[in-house]
Amino acid sequence: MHFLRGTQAEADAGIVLIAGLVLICLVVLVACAATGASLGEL
Amino acid sequence: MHLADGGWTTAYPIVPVLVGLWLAGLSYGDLRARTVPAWATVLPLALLGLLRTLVVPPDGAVVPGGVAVGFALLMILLSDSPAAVYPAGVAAFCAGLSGPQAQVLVGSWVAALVLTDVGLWGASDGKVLAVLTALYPDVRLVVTLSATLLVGSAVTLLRQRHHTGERRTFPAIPWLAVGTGLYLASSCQLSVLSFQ
Repeated sequence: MHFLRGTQAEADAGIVLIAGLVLICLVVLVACAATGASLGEL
Repeated sequence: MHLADGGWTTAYPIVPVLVGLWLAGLSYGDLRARTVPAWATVLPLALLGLLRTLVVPPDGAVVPGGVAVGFALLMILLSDSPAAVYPAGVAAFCAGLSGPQAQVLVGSWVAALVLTDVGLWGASDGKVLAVLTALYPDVRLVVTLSATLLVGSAVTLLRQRHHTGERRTFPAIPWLAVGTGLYLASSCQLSVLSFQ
């Protein structure tokens, strides 16, 4: 119930930035894997 | 027709207006106090969870799409105990059988819960994300929201770069509102283009 009762509404800027950049890298890697391209070809 | 939700928000064009008003109110509270009342996020989440389970299930079928949402709701109810992994697993399995809408919805609900538990953001931010993806279970919404949160975090870090040794936080709901607005605007643009 902590999730349902929680009222906090702020995000940690540093962690969000790192998580976002990691997510972008993962998306690029998956896109490369799906298309069969190497990172240098992008 | 709306691209993301199987048409039920098109049948009720007031839905985007209500979403905008809801996000505006929450953003005001978030900017002012960095908190929002729990009922303002729990009630929409419960309502949409039940709607998505029984009335307008993702991918158009109660089995397995609605069942996936039902188990995702159970996961949230059990989120204080390790037993939440069991309904989460069943929800993921059913979503895998269902289709992209259920996969986006269940995946984003799991992510919202995990990101709250690890302290990346507050519980209200997680519930707002869950409500938005219940309304519009579209991967483009998730991408847009992620991008706006990334911009928000970068802006916060750049504006507060002289502050050292303290945790730098930012109100996430206004950025989620911006992302939702961009998504809805781009969906309208695509819909107009598809009729030409």
